Amino acid sequence: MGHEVDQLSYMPEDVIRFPAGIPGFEGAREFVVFTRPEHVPFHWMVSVSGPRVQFVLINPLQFRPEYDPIIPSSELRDLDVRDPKELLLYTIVTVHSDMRLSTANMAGPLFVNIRTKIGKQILVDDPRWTTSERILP
Amino acid sequence: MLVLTRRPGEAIHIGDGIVVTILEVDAKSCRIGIQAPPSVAVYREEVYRRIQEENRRAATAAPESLEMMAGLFRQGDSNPPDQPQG
Repeated sequence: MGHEVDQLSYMPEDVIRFPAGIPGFEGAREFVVFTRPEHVPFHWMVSVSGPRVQFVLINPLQFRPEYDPIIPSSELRDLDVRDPKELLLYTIVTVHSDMRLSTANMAGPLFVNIRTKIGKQILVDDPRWTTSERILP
Repeated sequence: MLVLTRRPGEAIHIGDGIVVTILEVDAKSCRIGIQAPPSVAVYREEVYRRIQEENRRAATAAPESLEMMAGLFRQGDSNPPDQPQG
């Protein structure tokens, strides 16, 4: 049976759990990720339990193909990755009213294991990547 | 705040499954080992705060320019014009 948040329909298997929470919104641990045709290649991530939170996401490789942050292996262990193909990478976008000032948080990428439906925002301790990297040139 | 004295090699257990071990101490810093279950996030405070602040900014941003930004991406144009054309 499907569920709805606002006008968003989703199935229980679409729910991604963030057991460690999202810093700043620790009460929101279950989200769905969806894409509106007019917003491709951006996605939305909306909480479906706890406080209402929504984020705009993008795969950082879309605009920074060289993105290769150093991730401690202990961080990925929690995601129980058996095959790299089951891992999705996103970054949270801070959309500015002047779109050229919009940024992506490259110091806190989101990893989602699509097999286990477990997600985690991993904090990258790597000075090359900051919390606000411009998206548009 | 609970304050305890520990020597290198000694540890503190917190609740069920969290162990904090003092590894090394010198005049200015100490190295700490932390074991915790996956549901417990462990981060350096300054890194955590930066991410927390940016997440809050991102969640409250008004995405009215998202559609236009998405359009630029879909054009496959890595150098969008500075001025409107036509």
